[in-house]
Amino acid sequence: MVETLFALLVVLGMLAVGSYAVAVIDGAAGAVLGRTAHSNVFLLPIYQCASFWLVPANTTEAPDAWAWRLAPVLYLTFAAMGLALVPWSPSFIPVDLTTGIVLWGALEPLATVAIFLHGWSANSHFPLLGAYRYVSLGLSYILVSMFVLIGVSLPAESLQISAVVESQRELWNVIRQPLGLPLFLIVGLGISFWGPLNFADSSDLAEGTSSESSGRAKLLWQFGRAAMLVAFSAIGASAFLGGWLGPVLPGPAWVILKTLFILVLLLVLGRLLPRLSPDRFLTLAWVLLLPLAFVDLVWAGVEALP
Amino acid sequence: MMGGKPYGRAMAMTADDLRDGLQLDPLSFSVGPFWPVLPPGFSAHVTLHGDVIAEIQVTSIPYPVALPAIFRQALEKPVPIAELELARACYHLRQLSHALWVNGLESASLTVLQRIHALQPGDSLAGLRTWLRRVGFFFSAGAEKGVLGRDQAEKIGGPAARAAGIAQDTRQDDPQYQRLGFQVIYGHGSNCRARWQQWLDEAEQALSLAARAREQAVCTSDCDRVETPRGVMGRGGSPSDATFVLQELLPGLEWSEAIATIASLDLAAVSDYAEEGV
Amino acid sequence: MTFVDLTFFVCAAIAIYAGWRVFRTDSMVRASFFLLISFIAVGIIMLLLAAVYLGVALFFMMAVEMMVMALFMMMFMMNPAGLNPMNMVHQEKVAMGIGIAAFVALSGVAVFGDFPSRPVPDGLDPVVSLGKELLGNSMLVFESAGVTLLATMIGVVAMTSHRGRFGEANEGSVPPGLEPGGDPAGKPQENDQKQQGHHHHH
Repeated sequence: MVETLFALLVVLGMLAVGSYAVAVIDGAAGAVLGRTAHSNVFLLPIYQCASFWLVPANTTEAPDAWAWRLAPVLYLTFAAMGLALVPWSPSFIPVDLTTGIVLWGALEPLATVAIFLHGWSANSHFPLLGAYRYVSLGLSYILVSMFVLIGVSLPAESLQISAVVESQRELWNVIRQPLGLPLFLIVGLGISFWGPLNFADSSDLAEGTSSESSGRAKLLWQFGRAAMLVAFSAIGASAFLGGWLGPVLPGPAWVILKTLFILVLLLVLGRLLPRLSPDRFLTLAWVLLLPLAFVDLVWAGVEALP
Repeated sequence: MMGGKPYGRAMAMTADDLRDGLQLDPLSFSVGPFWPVLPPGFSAHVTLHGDVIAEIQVTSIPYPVALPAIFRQALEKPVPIAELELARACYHLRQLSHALWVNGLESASLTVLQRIHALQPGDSLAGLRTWLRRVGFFFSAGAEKGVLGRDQAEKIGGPAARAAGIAQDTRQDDPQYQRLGFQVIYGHGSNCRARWQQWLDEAEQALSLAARAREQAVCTSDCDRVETPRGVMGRGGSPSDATFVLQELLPGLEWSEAIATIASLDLAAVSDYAEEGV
Repeated sequence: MTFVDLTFFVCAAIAIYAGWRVFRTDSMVRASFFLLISFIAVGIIMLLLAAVYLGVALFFMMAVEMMVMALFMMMFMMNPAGLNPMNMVHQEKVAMGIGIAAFVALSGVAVFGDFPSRPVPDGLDPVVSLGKELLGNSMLVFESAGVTLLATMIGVVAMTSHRGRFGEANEGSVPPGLEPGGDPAGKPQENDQKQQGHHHHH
């Protein structure tokens, strides 16, 4: 009982601290790359939260009110479920499913449903366009992600995330399967629609799926996106960078360091790169990324042969 | 029941698709005039097939744009070329920063805006150009789209025409400019990428002209016409609105490409009033 | 009542309620996602039955499936945005009869059937045993089904592709007539009176 409660606290803490870290790192990256930091990078996210909190909620004509309110909650919940799968050390894993990798693979399509609902339920054209766009791209993200994740579970001979970490004791997957992490990072940017792959909530759609929401609903949505990015980084750190494995420091410290590394990489990439047109990215995803994911899988299979 | 506006909301009805004859749902709605991505005052009625623009009808043209006072003064008396060209560089860079913002390069857009405030004659934009090339801005949404025909380009005038390969610039007739070694810059391709590069090239050229003009304290000699960043302005008239070009240009483009195309064109008329000093 | 029992009853109730809502709601998108909720509740019940892989697989299979279904219905069917009310059922009397009969029959089997009591042996790893089954004795069946499905998918994509081997796929194509040899269907009628009867719900 105490252990369950502690695990719950860790996941909730990770949600809060992780999202705050995303905001701070993103703000710092922006300041370095040319945005004037009007105030302290560490305080700015808190001010922004407060302003979102105080702004009155918007509504549209005849929205699907239930779905519109629930979609951000669902998205955040999926991010939290992803974070619960992250193993911190051999002895402390909040949720140690034998099919952890598959559950993570299931969270991605479920997140797609939540993103679609968020755009669709507002009953307005820009959110609907953002939702359509996301779904048309989401399928390619999911496929790439699944092949890459099957790749990491091959050497582990298990679908358990802790077993995947343990299988990297001699060689991290980032070296053993060099295509895996880059593909996984692209999927990560896609699923949390961040930076160059922000097609669902992009500026050319007036913030797409969230263009009609404001106030606390929008705060929750942004919170969910940041949390999803953290969950992605943490799973990526476990699947490719050896999770808790590392010298000197205790396991959880390594998990945090590696997660932060991926997070910084994703956020800086997000700030640096311009948005492609969705059409062109879709072609790229099916013509280049998916075959690369196949290559990764074959590579992993050949490498895993005894 | 399909189509119409039940509950006051546009509802789609299947119709022939632009691309493959598969009957999908067109969605009609209005955009503008308060959306910061579009030019101020511009509004249009859009019909989309999925993500592709099937039809666009301009319902309100953008407000005339007020140029810096120096361009109007140039029609009254000779003005220092250094000041004129600096204002031109600032104008082009401001357009470029908007295009950067629209294509998701928020940080780079803010950097460019900050540069404008401290811009000096002789500044080099090589660093900015390299940066934009490295991050792939010239391959971002819409780069190869929004190709203007020759007629359309001539109608719009200014940098958009020169990006279409029409080497027309009033400055080449001004002996003072010739003394400074002015050469018309023109691009080719006439797509968004060509126009982005045209802004950058012309801004860079303007800065180097400004530096040379300041050294030699050169003023303009032609008071009948002036080449504004928007096109030729003479005593007789100033560049007029060309927004209706969009009605021919945008159908068939995917939404983000269409938005990038709008951001790559400066279509508003030039106002009779100058920009007020800040 | 244990935690497992409680979860089972809650999930079973959600599955049935959401399943019922599929037929009561007035939008294709809502119907798809109610069906998804129903399936997820069933997936959780499968997790309770120690079918870990199948339960989780149900989540992602159904999430993708319902998403695609909702999208295609919006693209191809009337009421595309799905937010305006529409009648979702047809031939409901027959369907209700069949549904009730099937429910009674299956419930009868569940309640009156004589099921063997064989507790799962200790140390059984369901994921490993499922993998051994799929890639062991049943490999031929599963692989041939898989390859057939893949071939079907590639074939369908090739057939519906815009760029055909002999030029544009839709060139010169007309919709089939409503009666054999009749005018192509779906052409706008010039005579207004002929349009009566077009306004049926679906």
